[in-house]
Amino acid sequence: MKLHALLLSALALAATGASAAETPKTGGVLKFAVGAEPPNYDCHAQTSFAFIHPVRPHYNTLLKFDTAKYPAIRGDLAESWKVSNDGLTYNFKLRKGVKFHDGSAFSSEDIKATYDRLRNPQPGVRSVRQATYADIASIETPDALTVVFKLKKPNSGMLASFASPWDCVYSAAKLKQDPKFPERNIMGTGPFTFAGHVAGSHWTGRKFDGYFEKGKPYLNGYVAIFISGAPMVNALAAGEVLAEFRGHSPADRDRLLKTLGDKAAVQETPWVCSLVVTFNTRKKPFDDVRVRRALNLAVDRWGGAQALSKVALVRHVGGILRPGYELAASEKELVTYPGWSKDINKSREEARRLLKEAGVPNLSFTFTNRNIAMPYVPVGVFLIDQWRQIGVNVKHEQLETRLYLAAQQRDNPTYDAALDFNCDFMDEPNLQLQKYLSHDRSAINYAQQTDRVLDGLYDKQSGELDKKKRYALLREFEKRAFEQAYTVPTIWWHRIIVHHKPMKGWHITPSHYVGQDLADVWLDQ
Amino acid sequence: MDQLTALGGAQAPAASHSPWLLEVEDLHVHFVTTRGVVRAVEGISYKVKPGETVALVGESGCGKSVSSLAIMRLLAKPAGRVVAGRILFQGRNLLELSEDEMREIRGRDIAMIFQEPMTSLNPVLTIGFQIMEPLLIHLGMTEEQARARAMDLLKMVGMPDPERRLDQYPHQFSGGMRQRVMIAIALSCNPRLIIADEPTTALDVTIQAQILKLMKDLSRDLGIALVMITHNLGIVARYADRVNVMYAARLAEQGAAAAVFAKPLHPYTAGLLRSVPRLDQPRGARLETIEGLPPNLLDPQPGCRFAPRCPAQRDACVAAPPPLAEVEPHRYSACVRAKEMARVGPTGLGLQSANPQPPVPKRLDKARPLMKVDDLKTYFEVGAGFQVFKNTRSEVRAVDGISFEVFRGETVGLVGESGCGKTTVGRTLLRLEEATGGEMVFEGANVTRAGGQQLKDYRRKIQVIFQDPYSSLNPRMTVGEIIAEPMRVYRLVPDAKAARDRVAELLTQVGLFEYMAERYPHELSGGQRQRVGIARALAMEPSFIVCDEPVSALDVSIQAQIINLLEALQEKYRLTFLFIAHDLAVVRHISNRVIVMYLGRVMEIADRDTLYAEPLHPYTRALLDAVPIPDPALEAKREYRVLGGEVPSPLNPPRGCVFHTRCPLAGDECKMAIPGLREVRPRHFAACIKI
Amino acid sequence: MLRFILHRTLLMVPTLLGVAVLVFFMLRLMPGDPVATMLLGDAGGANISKEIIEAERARLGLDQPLYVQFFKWFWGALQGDFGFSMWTGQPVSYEIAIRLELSLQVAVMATMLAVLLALPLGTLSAIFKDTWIDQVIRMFSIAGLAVPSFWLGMIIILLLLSVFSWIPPLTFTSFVEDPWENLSQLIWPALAVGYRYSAVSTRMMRSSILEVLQEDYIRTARAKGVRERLVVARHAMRNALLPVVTVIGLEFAFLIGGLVVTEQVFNLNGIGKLFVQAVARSDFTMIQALVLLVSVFFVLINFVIDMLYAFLDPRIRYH
Repeated sequence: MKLHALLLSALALAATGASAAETPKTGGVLKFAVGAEPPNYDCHAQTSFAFIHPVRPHYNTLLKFDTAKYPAIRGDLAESWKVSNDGLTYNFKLRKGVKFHDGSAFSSEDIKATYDRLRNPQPGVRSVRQATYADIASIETPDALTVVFKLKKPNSGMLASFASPWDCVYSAAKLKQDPKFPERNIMGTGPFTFAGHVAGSHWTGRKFDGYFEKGKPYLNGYVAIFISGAPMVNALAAGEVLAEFRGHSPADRDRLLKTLGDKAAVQETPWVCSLVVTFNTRKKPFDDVRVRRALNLAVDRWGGAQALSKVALVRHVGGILRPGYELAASEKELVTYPGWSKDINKSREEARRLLKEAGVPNLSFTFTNRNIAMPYVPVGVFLIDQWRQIGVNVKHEQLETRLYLAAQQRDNPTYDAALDFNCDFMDEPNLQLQKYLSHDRSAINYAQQTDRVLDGLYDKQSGELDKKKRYALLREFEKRAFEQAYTVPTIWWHRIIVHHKPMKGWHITPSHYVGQDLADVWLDQ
Repeated sequence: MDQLTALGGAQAPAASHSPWLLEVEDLHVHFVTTRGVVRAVEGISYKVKPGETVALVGESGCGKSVSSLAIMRLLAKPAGRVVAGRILFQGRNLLELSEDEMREIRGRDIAMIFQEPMTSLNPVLTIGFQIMEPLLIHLGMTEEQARARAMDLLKMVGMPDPERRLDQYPHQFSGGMRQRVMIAIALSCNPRLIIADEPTTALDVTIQAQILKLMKDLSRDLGIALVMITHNLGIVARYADRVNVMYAARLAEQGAAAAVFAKPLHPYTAGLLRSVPRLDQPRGARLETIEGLPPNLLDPQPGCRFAPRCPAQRDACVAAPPPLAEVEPHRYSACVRAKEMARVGPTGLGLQSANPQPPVPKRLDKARPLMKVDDLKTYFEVGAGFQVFKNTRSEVRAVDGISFEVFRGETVGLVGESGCGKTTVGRTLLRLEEATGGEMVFEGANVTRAGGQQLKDYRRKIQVIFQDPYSSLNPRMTVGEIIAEPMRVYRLVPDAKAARDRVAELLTQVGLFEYMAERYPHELSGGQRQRVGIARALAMEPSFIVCDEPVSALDVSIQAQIINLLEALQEKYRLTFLFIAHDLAVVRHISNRVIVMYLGRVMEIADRDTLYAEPLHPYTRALLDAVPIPDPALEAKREYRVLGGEVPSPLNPPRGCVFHTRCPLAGDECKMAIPGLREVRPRHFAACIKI
Repeated sequence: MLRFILHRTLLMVPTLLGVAVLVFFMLRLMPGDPVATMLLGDAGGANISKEIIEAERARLGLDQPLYVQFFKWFWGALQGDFGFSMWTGQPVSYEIAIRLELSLQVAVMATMLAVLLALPLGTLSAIFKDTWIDQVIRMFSIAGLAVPSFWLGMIIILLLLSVFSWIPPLTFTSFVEDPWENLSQLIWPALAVGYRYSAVSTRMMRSSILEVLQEDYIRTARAKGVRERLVVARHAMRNALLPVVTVIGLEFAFLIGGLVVTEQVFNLNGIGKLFVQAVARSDFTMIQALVLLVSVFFVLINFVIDMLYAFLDPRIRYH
C-alpha cells in the first residue's frame, strides 16, 4: 500500500501570508462588494459565488486550497490525512479544540453528519452535490478526531472535492434537531460569526474569538455589501469598499487604477471559466458532425484571444482544462486539435469544404447569447464574425438570463447554437468534463448528445490515480470531444482583481470560489 | 348725448364740477395677437350722468365689453392696450392713474357685474368672504362690521336666509342667486357707477326679469349710474335711459332709448330692430334680416363698416368712415344718409318693406300625426354609482308624462326655462335617452323600444340640429366629411364622388358655397357652422327634425338668417320640426303650435296665435310678461309682474301642481293633486285647476 | 364623509381582485422558471440533476395545476399572507417591509422637494409669463423633463466621486437612528428624482395658474380692487392646486415602485430594486405581492387625492 502523505502543521499555515516580511496587524472591519445576493444560507444547496463570498468565512471545510500555492491542498478542519494506495480509503485526523460559534465542541460526528447530508440528503433537504460524492460507500468515525471515508471505486478528483468551498461543516447536533437548520441559520466553526444580513443590502460577520487558529482572524469583522455594475466600481473608487472578489473587466481595472493610483493593487490570473459554444444536436443541421466541426474550425482562437483581451475579460486559449493547470494540454498539443491550429486560413478552407459536403454551404442560424455585457456579448460578436468569414450568416439573439436558460431547457431546447459558460470552483477534470458527457449523465450538457466513447473516457480518467496516465486519457477525451464538436471551448477567462492596498493577506486564485474564508486577510492601517 | 369729443382740449380737468360722472372720449383699444392687431374699439365716446342707465348695444365682437373693461383697466395683459383716448371718471383721467390709485377705484367707485354668474364667483371661497373682501380692502372694516354689512347686502338683493347663506359656497346657489351675490358685491362699497356686462344673458327669462328689476330699482334708490352692456334690444327698451349702438368697434348711433327705437337713424339699428322676432307685432311671412357677416377686425375695410351689408349703401360710404354726427337734437348717427333717413324713415331708404306680407297658412293633415307622443316619461337615476347603497338612489323626473302630436309639415315649438325637460324630450324622441314610460308612435309605428333595423330606419328619418355650433362639429373633420359621414354610414350614396356631389348640393341649399366643403369648422363663423349642422341633418333626407335651441347661441342678425333658412327648407322638403327654445319670440315666429313645459310637465298647449294672444296658464302668462319688448314706448305702458322665486329642484319637485310655489293664483287646493292637461277651449289645452 | 370613505374602500376590492388575477396568470405565461434561474444562472460547477430541479419545483408548489396554485396563493393573500419568496424563502411581507421605509422616505423627500420648488416656481413663471423669469424657470423645468433621473443620479455620483472622492453610504441607516447618515445617503437620490418630479409639477402649476388666471372669477377679484398679489395667492392658487395635486399624488405612488434604475445607480435597497430582482429571478410570489402593493398604493393615493380635492374644493366636499 503506497501512501500519499501530506502533513500540514499549524506553523506552515502562518507562512502563507502575502509577504513574509510584513507582520499582520489585527483589527479593522473589511468592507467588500458582492455582485449578487445569496438566496438562502445553506452551503450545500448553493452554486453561486454570491453565496461563497459572504458566507464562507462563517464555516470551515474538511480541507481547503492553499491560495498561495494553488492548486495545493491543505487541511482546514483536518490536521492531516492519508489516502490508501488503491484510492478507496481516506483517513482524516481532525484538529483538537475546535469549537462551533455556539460554544459546542466539534468532532468527527459533525463531519459525518455533514457529508451524509451532502451525499444523501433527507427529504426536503436540497444538496446539489450528491453526484460529487456518489462514489462514497461509507463514512466511519472510529473516534472523535478521526473520520474515515470508504469509496466504492477510485476517484482521482476526490481529494480536491474534500477541499470544495461548498461543503461547509455543520453541527451534527443542530442537523439532528432540524435537517433544514442551515437554510435559515449560520452556525459553523469558521473565523467569523454571523452578525446579520439585511436582505438586499449587506451581510455582516464578526470575529469569532473562539476560532481554533490562535491569533486569527486578524479582522474584527467584515461587511459584504451587495452591489454590482457601475455603482460597484464607483464604490471601489471611493474606497467605500476595498475589494470585490469576483473579477473586473480590463476597462474597469484601468479606470480604477487611474482613479486610485498607487492606492490600488492588482492581481491577475487565468480563470477556471471558459465560454463554450454549444450546438443543439437535436436540430438540423447541427446533428451533422461536419457542420459542427466546420463551425469549430472557423474560429481563430489565437487571434481572437489577443484582440478580445483588450476589451473583455477573456484572454487565454485552452482546451477543456484551464491553460496553466497541470493536467491541461500544452500549447504544442493544443495546436494539433481541430480548431486550435494556428493556420487559420487552412482551417477555414477545410470548414467551407465540410459545409459544402454537408449540403449547407450558405448556412444561416440564430446564435443564442446572454445579454450580459461582459464577456458574453463581445465574444458572441467575435464568433459571429468568425463564422461570417466562412460564409455563414448568423443572427445574434441576446436574452436575459431567465429566457436564455429557458431556450436551453433540457426537455425541449429551442435554440440552434448558444454561447454557454463553464465556470467551476476549482481545477478538476471531473468537473470540467461534465459539460461534454452524454445528455443522460450530465445536467449541464445542453448539446443533447449521447456519446458513450466520451462517457467511457471520463470514467477511466476519473478512476485513474496515476497523474501521467490520467493526463493521457484527458488528451484522448479532448481530441474526441473536439472532433465531434458537440460543445467546444472558445476562449478562457482572465481574472483581474483590483483592491485597495491596505487589504493584505489575500491571494488571487484561478477560481473566485476558493480562498474566501478571510482568516488570513488583514488591514494595514 | 349732449357734447361730443369735438370739444377736445377745452374739456380740461374741470374736475368734480363736471356734470358727467363718466366721460369716455375717442377711446381706441387694440389687441396684439399672433395674427396681427385687432382694432377692437375705434373712437368710442359716450358719457354717463350720475344715476342714469346707459346701454351699450351690439352684437358679439363689436367691442362693447372691451370698452367697458378698458374703463376698469382690466384688459387682458399684455395683449390688450388702450392706444388713444381719455376716460374721465369724476373728472380724473383713469388712464393716467397709477395701478394703486386705480385699484382703489375698482370695487369702491366703479363696480362691475359680469355675464356668467356660474363662473364669476370663486368656487373655493365662501360667498360671505367674497362679499366682505372689498369692504375689508376699501373701507377698512373689521371682520364683524364687514360680515354685518354683507348680511345687509344679501338682504338688499333679496337673498332669503342671508345669515346661513354667507357661509356657503357658490355651487350651492342657483344662477339667479349667484347673480344677486354679484350685485351684492358690486353694491358693497356704495359705488357711483356699476358696469353690468350682459348681466342676465345666461339666465332664464323669469329670473332675468327679477335681476334686471332689482338692478334698476337699486340704481334708482341708491343713485348709482348703470352702464348696461347687452345684445338684447328688449332689455334696452325696458331699462335704459339712453342707448349707444355699436357695430364693428365703432359707434353707429347714440340717443335717448325711446327716440332710437322709435326712429332709428342708422341702417344697422333699423336692421337690428326688424330682425328680432317680436311678441308685440303680427308675424310676417319671414324675418327681414341683415344679410352677410360683420367684418373681420384684423383687417377691416375702409369706410363705413356696415356698408357691405347695408341695402342703402352709397359710394361715399366706402370711401371714408362717416363720423358720428348730430342729426337731430341729442341724436347722433354715423351714417352719411342719416339726415335723409330721419326724413323718410327706414322704409324710405329701402331698408325694409312697407307692408310685411302675412304668412301663408299651412295645410296640415290633421288625421294622421307624424309623431304621436303619449304619456312619455324619462327619469334619470342620480346619486351613488355603487349599487351597494340602493337606498341612496334618487331619480330626476326630467320628463314626467307628457303627450302631444306633431303633424307632417308643421313646426311645434317647445318652450320652457332651463331644467324644464324640453331638451330631454328631444333626446328621448331621438332615442338618445331611453323612455322610462309611455310611448312614441312615428308614422304609425311604435318606436319607443324599437331596435335593430327598425331603429336604424327611424334614426335616419329623425334628425337633430344642436344648439352649439362650436362643439357639435368635429374640429378634425372638414365640413365635407362632416356632412358626408352619416350618408356613408347609412350607405345613402354609392361612392365618394356621389357623396361629394351631394355635399355640394346640400351646401348650396343651406346658403353656403361648394368650396366650403374643404374647410374646417374653426374657419367658419357661428352662423355658417349652424348651416353646416343643418346640411348634415338634411343629408339623411329626414322627415322630422328636432331643433334644439338652434339659434340661441347666435347673434340677432344671424339668428334671423337661420330661422328664415329653416322655414324655407321646411317648405321645400315638407319637413316637420320640433323646435325647442327658451326664446318665446323666436318660438312664436316659427311655430304653428306651442307646448309650454315646466319641471318636466306640460303646462299648456295651443296654436301659436291663441297661445300668445290669450295665454291661459298663469305660468305662460308670467313667461310672456317677463319678456321685454324692444319698444320703449310699449314697455313704458306695459304692466308686467315679475314672477318671484326660483325653479324648484327637479330632484325634489313640489307636490301637487309643480308650479304652485311661484304661481300668483295658487291656493291650497293646488298642492293637493297634479292637475291634468285639459282642453279648456277647442284645441287649447292647459294644466291648471284655476282656469 | 364616512360613506364616501366606505364607498371608496369597497371600490378597491374589485380593482385589487382584478390586479391579483391578472398578475398571477400573466406571470405564468412568461417564459422562465424560478428554479432554473436559481440553480443554473451561475452554476458554480455543480452538476444539478433533473431530480433536484423537480424536487425544488415541488417544494415551491410549481408542479401543481395552475388553478390550485392560484387558489392557494389567493386564499393566503385574502388573509394577508402573501407567501414566501421563491428565491430567498423568506416571507414576502418581510422582504418588502425591510425595504419599504427607504422607498417611502425617498418618495416623501422627493415629493417635498418637488412641492417646495414647484409651487413657487410654477406660480412665478405664470405671473411673469414670457419675461426672463418665466424663461429661466421654463428652462429649468424643460431640462428636468429631458434629463432622466437615473442619468442625473449618475452625474451626481460621478461629481461627488471626482470632486470629493466620496460617494453616499452604501447601506441604509434609519432616520431615527442617525439622521445625518440617513440624509447623506438619501438626499442624493431624492434630488435626482425630485428634480424631474418638480419639473413636471412646475409645468403643471404654471399652466394651471395661467388657466385659472383666465377664469372669470379672477376678473371679478380684480374688479373688486384686490391687490394682484392677493389675487394670485387667495383666488388663483387654491383653484390651481387641484390638477397639481393629482400629478403630485400619482407621481408619489409611482415612486414607491418605480425607482428601478435610480435605486440601482445609488445602490438603494428599495422596492424598485426588489422589483427588478424579482423579475430577473422569476420570483413569482414576490412579483405578485409587489404588483399588488403598488396597486394598493395607487388606489390609496387616489383616495388621498380625492380627500385633498374635497379639502380644496367645496364643490366636492358638499356633494
